[in-house]
Amino acid sequence: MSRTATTDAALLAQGARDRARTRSLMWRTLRNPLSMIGMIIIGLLVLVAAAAPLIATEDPLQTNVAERLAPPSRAHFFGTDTLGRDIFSRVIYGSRISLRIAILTAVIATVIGAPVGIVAGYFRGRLDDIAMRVTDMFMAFPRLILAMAIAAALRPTLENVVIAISLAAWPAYARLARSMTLGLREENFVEAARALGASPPRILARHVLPGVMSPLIIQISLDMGGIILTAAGLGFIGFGAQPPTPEWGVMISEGRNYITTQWWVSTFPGIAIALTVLGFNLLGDGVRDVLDPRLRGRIGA
Amino acid sequence: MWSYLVRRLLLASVAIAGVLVIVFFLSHVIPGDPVGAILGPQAPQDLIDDLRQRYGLDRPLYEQFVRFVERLAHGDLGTSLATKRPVIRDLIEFFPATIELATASILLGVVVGVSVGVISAVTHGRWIDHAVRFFSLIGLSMPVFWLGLILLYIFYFKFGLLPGPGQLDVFLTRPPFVTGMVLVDSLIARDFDTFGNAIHHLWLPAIVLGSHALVGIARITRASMLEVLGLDYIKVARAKGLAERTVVFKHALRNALLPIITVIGIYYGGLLEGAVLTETVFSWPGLGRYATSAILSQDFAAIMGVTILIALIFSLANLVVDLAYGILNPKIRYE
Amino acid sequence: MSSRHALVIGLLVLTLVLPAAAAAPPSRVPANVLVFGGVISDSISLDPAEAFEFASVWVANQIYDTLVDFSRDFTRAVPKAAASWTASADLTTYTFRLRPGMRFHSGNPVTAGAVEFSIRRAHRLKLSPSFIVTDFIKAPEDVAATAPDTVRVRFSQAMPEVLMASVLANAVTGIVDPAVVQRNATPADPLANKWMADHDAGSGAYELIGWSRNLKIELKAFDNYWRGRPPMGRVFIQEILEPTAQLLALQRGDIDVALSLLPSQVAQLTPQSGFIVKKTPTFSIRYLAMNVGYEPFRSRQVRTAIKFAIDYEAIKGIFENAIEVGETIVPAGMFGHLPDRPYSKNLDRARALMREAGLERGFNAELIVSTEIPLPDVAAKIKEDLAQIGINVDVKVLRSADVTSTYRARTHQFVIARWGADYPDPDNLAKAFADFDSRVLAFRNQWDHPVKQVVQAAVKERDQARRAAMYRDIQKVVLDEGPYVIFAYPLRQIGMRANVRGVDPSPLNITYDFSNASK
Repeated sequence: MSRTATTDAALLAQGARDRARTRSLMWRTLRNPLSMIGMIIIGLLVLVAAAAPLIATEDPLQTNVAERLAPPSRAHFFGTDTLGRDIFSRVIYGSRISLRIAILTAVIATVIGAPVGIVAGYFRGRLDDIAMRVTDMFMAFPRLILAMAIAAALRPTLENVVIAISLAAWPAYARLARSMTLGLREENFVEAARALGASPPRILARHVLPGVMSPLIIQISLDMGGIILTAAGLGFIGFGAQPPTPEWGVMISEGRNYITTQWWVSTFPGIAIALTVLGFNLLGDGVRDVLDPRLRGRIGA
Repeated sequence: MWSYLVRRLLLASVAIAGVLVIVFFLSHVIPGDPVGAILGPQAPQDLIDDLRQRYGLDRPLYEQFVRFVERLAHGDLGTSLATKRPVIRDLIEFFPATIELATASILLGVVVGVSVGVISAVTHGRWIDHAVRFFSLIGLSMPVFWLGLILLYIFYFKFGLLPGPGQLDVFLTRPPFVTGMVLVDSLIARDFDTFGNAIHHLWLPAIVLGSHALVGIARITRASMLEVLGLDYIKVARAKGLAERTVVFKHALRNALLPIITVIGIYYGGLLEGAVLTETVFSWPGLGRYATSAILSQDFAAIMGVTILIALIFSLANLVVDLAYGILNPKIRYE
Repeated sequence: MSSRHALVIGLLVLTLVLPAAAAAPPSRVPANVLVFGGVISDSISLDPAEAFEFASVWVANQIYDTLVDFSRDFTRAVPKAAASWTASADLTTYTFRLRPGMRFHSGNPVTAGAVEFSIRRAHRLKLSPSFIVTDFIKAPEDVAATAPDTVRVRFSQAMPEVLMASVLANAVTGIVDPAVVQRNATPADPLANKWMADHDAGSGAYELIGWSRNLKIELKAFDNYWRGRPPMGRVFIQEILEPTAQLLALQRGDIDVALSLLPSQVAQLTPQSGFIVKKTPTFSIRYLAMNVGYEPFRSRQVRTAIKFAIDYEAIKGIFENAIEVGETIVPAGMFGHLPDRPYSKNLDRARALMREAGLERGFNAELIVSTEIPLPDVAAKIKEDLAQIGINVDVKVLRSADVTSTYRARTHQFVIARWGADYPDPDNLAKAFADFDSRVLAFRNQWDHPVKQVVQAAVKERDQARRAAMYRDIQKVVLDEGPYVIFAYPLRQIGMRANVRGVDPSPLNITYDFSNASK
């Protein structure tokens, strides 16, 4: 694995070096119709999440047993669930939860992963060995199963889902940050800073970190879809968020028993997840395509 | 090469040992009462105390760890609290079903994924490419458990094209246990009815489990093919007037294989992840479900057994990928 | 260019054809085979001395005979392997005469020695269900064969007939073939408990052919069964985890009976579409418990206020009507049940009681509940209800293992839990809910009430009418003062094809006995 990472790193370094390209990168990404669609979906998602209280027609937690399992109608656009809660409002509020999980996970995983990777890559030697063995350890395990174990060890709550997925995800970012740093430390501007007597923390913060961030952000945007799916999977098997939280995975799990009779209960949250993940995937795909033709596909692996 | 292999194996064992220590302490630190969980809320206290003593769960944590390591050194994974059987026996019983499903999924993923990827690459930039990519992205965006339920509904219930949950029709007898894989065992027993039935049962879960790998393989194939198709020698080949089929398959695909193989290896290890969800939806008697229930009931011995097995397979898959990479690409030398 | 098109089309066709090749006609169940769809993956062992889960107990009941059986209304014992019996005057000793001519699946005769061996074996193995034996029979030697066809059982207390049957109709006392057990014993496992986990040593209506864990249990009709050979030659219990998948399998004709359907799915099975549904109470109780060790719950007014604040009808809706609303600790259908239902949502009364207790400004309390559907929803509803009388409930959803251990440790405040009768006698429930000294639920909720003396006396009472009256008194006290809000008696509903006969669910261990099943 390390070999692919190193080759990727060199390539990525090449791509990231030219910051001026960033703006044109965005422009070129959006020129691709598929990425444009992705961008629109994500934009809508953020909008919906931000304006949830304005869009939702009812309190997502308000039960009304008398109106349980009502089919979609003008009063309930997406119908109601087993407790008579308005599925439309729950799906709308669910966007907040999914976005929160995705963003928090990305932040936590980066906050752990980036420093570990940068320090390991910059100082090499013992530190690097230890850091890489630790990431090996975490990466010797599938993400969902590791997250399951951690979520079980803590308690099945939304916060713990974030912690579990972050702990399972950070090693990949540490690896990426490390390989980026390996390339950057040989760069002229870093060597120049060193020659001028800049302290290592200063070099790391001022010169290395910015170079590491943009590939990391790209990588994270590629992973967003996967993070949302993992969280939903945890919710589905009962390790994640718990009812009555309007988390999409939990909603599908609750609705799966009604799939033959009240299709709307699981279908709408299912579509919501699929659309959201699709949006992230389309966007990520576009970014990757534009970055470097030779890079296509390999980062995500 | 050999010293590289030895080093990699050493590193892998260090990683696995680390995983074991982490999982052991993690699973034992969880506040909870596995014995109470298994006996249920109504069991009398003395029965619980008795069982806890029988399984050594009343001992201090470090003592339990030492005992675990000692047993492990003798190849003994301990006894599962939930099934009351040696963990090794449970693994032997449940793992083949997962291997069978994962292998079928990856085969499906490779055959369909590479085809789709080639189509997409050959029609690069035109509507068919966009359509294929769009639909494959939709596939990648569906939660597997939801996809499973929907496919079950459509193919099994609505149209009756494929059989329902389970590994075999219930009144078919499983062939004698040789490998534990129904497909292989039924062939060994020359029981072709069972073989056919098992194949039919395999389709839906394999499609569901393989869907993400399929899309991943399709994308990497497309990317890799595009890269190769843009190279000079392909242009030369085309200019020489070679048939498109020859150019695509003989020249381009062969050279595009390297990253494809890498990604196949990675996905194969990763299928264990999807197996947890797929096996739940399809009542598949595999390792994924065993792992889930072990974690839920804090069945320590079973958790550790599954951990060891999964870590081994994952590390092995990574090693094989790296080696294959080196063999296929002589430019890479092992330090 | 055209060759490139051909290539594209070829590959497209290939990808489309692949799944299409999978089409196959669905299989149907043959006429002399009965297939159940259910969940068997929690089963640990089919050894009658160890079987303790939903499916394993039920299946062990089909493979092994017990001395007696319950009458359908659970008021008395009826003969099974024992053709008749007599009881001593103090109801502590029963003497059973065996049915002549019974044989094990191995061909060996069923003897008094085998009965003695079996019950002593369960006693010695001390496995999960053993307390059903050891709570009432002190030593293994208290079960003795006194003649080739006569067994004497000495109990440690007076045993009214129903209580006797609670022990001797339970699968844990199922009769095993000593010769078969001894043949498969090992020095490490002298009672062959490991071997018995998935092998057969019984005399019941069905022989065990095999058990593929997480997959299926396969049974075959026993030709020499004393009631006559069961009509169904083969019976399968197939693991289908998802209730939806069970419904699909039933509707497609791949299974005959679906054991774990959900209420909304049951509603779809109409006689017009060729299906029937059978319902039964289950002798179990869903309740909300309050730990009296937590200061506010020490007040009886607060406990009663909570009982008046809860919307029982709404909870019934959450359970999709698959429950009966009942408020006393002895469930409907059981001997001695008191049908009183004094509580319904009445916020004025509840608020008045809170004022009386000096807690009109409310308090905070934590409620723990397991992840089992639909309990978190019930908890959410209770939170909503109690907020209206000022109690601010913090719901914590935990794994059921954690709920149980917290409950056992008595560190909870509110908990939503379930109790299923271990045996169909009110003694079991009275002991659990009202007898502090038996260290079960009253103990866990730190509710030590003098009514425990009535509980301890009632079990010894020989006069049925007086015994019933005592249990009604106990229920009344618990209803008025106890720390429990009982909101449901769950129902079990099983769906089957309309042509299936003889599969009748019962409150105890699901389907009772299907030796007469046919279709």
